[in-house]
Amino acid sequence: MKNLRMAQKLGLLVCLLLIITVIVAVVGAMQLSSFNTQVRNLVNVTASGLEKVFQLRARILQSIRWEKSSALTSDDADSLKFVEKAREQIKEANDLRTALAQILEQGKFELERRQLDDFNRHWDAFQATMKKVLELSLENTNTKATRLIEVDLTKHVKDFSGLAKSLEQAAEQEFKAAELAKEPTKMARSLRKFHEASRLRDLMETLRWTLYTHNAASDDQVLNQLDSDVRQIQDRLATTFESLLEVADERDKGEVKRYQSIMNGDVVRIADDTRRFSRRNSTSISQALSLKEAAEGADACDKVITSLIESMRARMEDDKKAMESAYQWAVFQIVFVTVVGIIFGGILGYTIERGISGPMSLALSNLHRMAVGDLSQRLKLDRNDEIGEMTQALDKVSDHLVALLHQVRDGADGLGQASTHLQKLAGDLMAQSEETTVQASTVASGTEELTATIQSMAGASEQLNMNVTTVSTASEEISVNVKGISDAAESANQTVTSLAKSIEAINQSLLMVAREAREGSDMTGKARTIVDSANTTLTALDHSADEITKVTDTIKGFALQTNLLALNATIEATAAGEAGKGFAVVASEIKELAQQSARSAGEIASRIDEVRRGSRQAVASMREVMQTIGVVSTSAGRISDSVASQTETARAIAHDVDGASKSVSSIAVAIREVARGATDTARNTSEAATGTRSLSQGAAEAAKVAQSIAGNIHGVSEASRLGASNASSVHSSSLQLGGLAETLRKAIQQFRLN
Amino acid sequence: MTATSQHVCTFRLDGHLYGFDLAMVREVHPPAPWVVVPKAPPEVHGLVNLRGRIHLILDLRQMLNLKSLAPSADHLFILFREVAGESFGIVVDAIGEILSIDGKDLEWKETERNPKSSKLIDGVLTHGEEILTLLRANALLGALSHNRVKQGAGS
Repeated sequence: MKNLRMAQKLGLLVCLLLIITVIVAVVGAMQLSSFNTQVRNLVNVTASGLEKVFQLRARILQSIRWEKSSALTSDDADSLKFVEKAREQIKEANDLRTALAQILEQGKFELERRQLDDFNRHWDAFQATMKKVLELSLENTNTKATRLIEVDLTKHVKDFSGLAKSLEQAAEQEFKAAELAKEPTKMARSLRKFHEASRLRDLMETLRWTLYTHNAASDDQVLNQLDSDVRQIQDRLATTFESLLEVADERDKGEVKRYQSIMNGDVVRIADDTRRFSRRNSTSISQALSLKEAAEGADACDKVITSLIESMRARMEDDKKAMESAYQWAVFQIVFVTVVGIIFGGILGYTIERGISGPMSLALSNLHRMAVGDLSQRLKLDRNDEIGEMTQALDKVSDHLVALLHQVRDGADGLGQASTHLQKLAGDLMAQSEETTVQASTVASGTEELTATIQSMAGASEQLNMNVTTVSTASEEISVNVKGISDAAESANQTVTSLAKSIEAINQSLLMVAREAREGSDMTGKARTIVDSANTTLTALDHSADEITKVTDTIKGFALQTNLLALNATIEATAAGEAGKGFAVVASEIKELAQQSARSAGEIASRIDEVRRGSRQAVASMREVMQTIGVVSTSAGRISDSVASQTETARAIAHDVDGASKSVSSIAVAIREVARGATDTARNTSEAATGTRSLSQGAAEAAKVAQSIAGNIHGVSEASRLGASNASSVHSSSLQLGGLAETLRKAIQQFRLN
Repeated sequence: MTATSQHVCTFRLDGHLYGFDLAMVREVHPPAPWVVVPKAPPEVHGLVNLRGRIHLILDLRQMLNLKSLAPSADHLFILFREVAGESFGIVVDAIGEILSIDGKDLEWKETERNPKSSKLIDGVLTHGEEILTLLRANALLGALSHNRVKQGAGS
């Protein structure tokens, strides 16, 4: 994990989020499709099956209704209409039954299919019954018979009773006329006529009621009895008509005959028809069937259908439960996957955050330490990502800084030593210059003394030269004078020797000064090398700092992109509504993390800039030191030059002093000779004159030499004064240098290098 | 604006804070090269190809009569959903936070007197020390000067 690039990590995170989203979507889609299947099953199969069952039941009830109506109605047309409707309902019920069977087949409902088979059995039986009932109701025989009785027969009965009444009235009148006429035969005949007529009426009524009874009866035995009754009544009617014909007048006969023919024709036919219809007895049978078998069949069907509805309803309940459980399972799966995804995303985000912020805070604390000068810590993180590179670069920066500071410290140490050395040298130089000045002034005073002596000597010798001719008398005085001269010459000789010694010492010290000045020059060269190497190290430091800046820029770029990514994730999560709330939390965490990364990178960049500025300042200080060293170097060169000229002058002085010494020695010899001559004054005055002349000449020469020595000594004195001022400037420069070296050392001591 | 709460995607333009209803926002996109459309209204910034799909990018500065500036290198695109109009977006200086605001916080003020932009303003509310102006993304395309001229000619 820690060896992945940050971009890969973020990519991994984004991939995880995408995968979770896809899994949620897939799970949701799968569950929705299973849910859909359940719903379709419920709607297409169970619900539509239930609907079909209800329709079937309705059709059956409708068909029963029409069947009842057709059985009850007496009108043929209505009956036909109702029968048609009943048949239509039965046909539709059959269609529904087929459709239902298909649905049950489709839904693989075994129980329902068995119930449907059961229903089919009952239904077929019921249908057969229905068919019979409908056929019978179409025939409608009992009604027809009733109508025959009530309409046709009743009309005939009325006609017949009208006839009977007229006959009775006629018979009554005849009876009264015969009674008046006292004709017993006629009386008996009219009586019989009356009697037959009323019997005709009775018989017609009896026939009508018998036929009514016949129509109402359904039992075979009763029907047979009634049939024979009807036949008897008809026979008796025929007999009655025969009797009536016998007793009827000529006037009535035609009428009676007409009725007889009606009797034999129409009435007999009506009675036969009525009996036939009554025999058929279809209405009663159909009603009986309708009330018993059909009702039982319908009940059975209804019972089966009710059980079918119950089981379908139970199935619907089961489907509802299945749907509910499918819904709950889908919700559980989606919630579970989402929760797992959020947990994984959170763990991964936390790990990445730890992976970034841990090393970041380490690097930051190290930078803080570096800022206060502690360079001893190294992160040494074994990571291959940007953070790792950054910390490694930071370590490299620390290494470079430590090396640089080591070099600077060494340089400062060397510089301090050199300045101490230089200081000491300058002190020495000053002391020696002072000594030289003292000695030069001593020499000068000696030389002046010498000059004075020589001048006095010259004066004396001049006087001597002038008096030589008159010396003979004052030879004693001469002898004394010469002795004084000899003493003076001796002292001059001594002075010159000490002068020579002093000049030798001056020469020695000047050589030493020259050597020290050269050493100082070497030191400045060394210091320049150190500063140059410091400059190189600083360049390397700059390079490392640039690399770190690049890395922090990259991190900033990543942070910006991550920020955008997190923002878009937030937008998506918000668009997803309640389901996306978890993602929104993760996305805002990532955003926070990105901003933190950017801040850390910025802080690192500013720290690195501070380090870079500090090291630039250090190099500037070093440059200043180098300039000061250059000044020291120039001063040392000037010292070297002036010392060389001093040495030259000293050498000339030495040479001159040598010459002076020689002259003085020759003076001493001459004086000694003068002395010798003086002691022999009398003897050789000319010799003395010569001697004094040469003495005079030597003295003048000596005086000139002494003058030049004095001039040279003055030059020495000037040069040594210059040397002293140069030495003092060297001293002050070296003091400054020492101070700088000390500052540098203190500055470096602020850094903890190990 | 009777909704009790809504999410707002805020952004900055010329230092001011603006916001769109988050339901209108599809995504925020880093800068991409764009093509200038010849003879287009001045509010049209250009066309960009983002993931193989051409989007019309509008310059909201022009539409709000703000100081017009060339977009810097770190500008961003806000792309809208289909509900706001066909494949288009705007260019903004910087993206802000996703805020959840309460409908009750809205204060109705006529801060923009310019009739050209008044239809774009949905409402104004305070956010900390600043003023957050809510804009209507689905009114952006209709507010193009080209469309307005047409509407003017039609009516």
